[in-house]
Amino acid sequence: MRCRQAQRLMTPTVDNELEPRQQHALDQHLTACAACRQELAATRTLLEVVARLPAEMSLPPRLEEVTLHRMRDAARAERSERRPAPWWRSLSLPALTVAAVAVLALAVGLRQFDVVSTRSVDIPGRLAAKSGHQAASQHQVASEAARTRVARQEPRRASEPPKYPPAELASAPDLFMDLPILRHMEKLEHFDAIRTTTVDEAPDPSAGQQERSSG
Amino acid sequence: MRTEPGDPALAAPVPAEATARAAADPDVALMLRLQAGDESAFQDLFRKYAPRVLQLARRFVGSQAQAEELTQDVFVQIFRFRHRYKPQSRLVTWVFTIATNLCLNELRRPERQLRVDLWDRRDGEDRPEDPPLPDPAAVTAEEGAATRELAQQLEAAVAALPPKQRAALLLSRVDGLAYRDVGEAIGCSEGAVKALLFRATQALKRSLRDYV
Repeated sequence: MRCRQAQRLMTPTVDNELEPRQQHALDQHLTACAACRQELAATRTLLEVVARLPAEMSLPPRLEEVTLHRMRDAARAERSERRPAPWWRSLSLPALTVAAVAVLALAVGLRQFDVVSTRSVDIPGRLAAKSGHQAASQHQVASEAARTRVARQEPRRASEPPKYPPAELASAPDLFMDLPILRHMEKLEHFDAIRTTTVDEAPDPSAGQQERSSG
Repeated sequence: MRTEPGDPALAAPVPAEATARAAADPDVALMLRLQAGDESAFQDLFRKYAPRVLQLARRFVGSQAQAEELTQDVFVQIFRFRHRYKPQSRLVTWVFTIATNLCLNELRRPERQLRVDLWDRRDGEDRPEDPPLPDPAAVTAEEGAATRELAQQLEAAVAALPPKQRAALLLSRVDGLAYRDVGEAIGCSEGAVKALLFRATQALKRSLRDYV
């Protein structure tokens, strides 16, 4: 054994952590090497001094209380974590996927049903236009259909607006401005019906002229 | 005082073998009580090991306030992982494994490194990390000024050791853990512990050559 190897075994031999074979080899080296014997003595002294360092420290008064408080918080957190999970968490991912697809399909189906029912309301209008009833234009029927649909979705207003302005307003025409958009207010009111009407179902032009002249 | 005795969230089944070991080892009995949800067992555990954990933490981080915070963390971890404790292993080793890991993690924190770097740039000013304050109880009055000075120099030299060497030295020499247990606490083999101790001893010899 060389001195370098012997030095590596000095701390373990002081700590009684050497295997018998290594201990024997070290002892043999030490009997022949005075420098290593001196080194071992120094190592032993140093490690004894280190071992005399205090292992404990006096605890501050509130440390136990604060730690206990934190431990109770941790215990509460554990209990809340172990509460039974909601029923839907027990479902597997495939089951949740199937449920989501079913809900989506139902939503799409309901929307399709709504479109079909709207078109079915439009059918009398088309028939009326084709039968040549000039009094009831398809535009007007579509407007009626739109009104019907709006009426299904929204509560009807409590009172209809007056057809004519009150006498006090009619006597002051300067209060009113003649804007082109105001003349087309009825069309704007029936915008939804116009938007849903296809080109081949265009309203009778004469009916439109009638509307413009009446507006 | 108990924390809701019988609470399934806190209690765990105790095997017969563990019960037999508990009869022989009071530390095992303490842990089994804690695993069963006994809050007083936690207090007993704290009173038994906190002074040692606090001292170890102070030698790692230097600051008393941080050492106290680390000690709290150690015991909260002990409580949280109490069901992982196996009666086959020594409780003191398990406690010091948690303590050493938290201390080493604390030293690795980037904000701590930054803080140390900033302090390092100030010349001629004592750093808050090391050398740590000497424990007044380290030496008695009779041992004299020379012994007190040696103790201070030794504390400073230990604090200057790299963290793993410091952990190996303190756990083996101060806390009396066997090399196998030191290896378990630090997370390395017995051979690695021997190497760490060799390097630590050599460094201390160099630092204290005027005293030893």
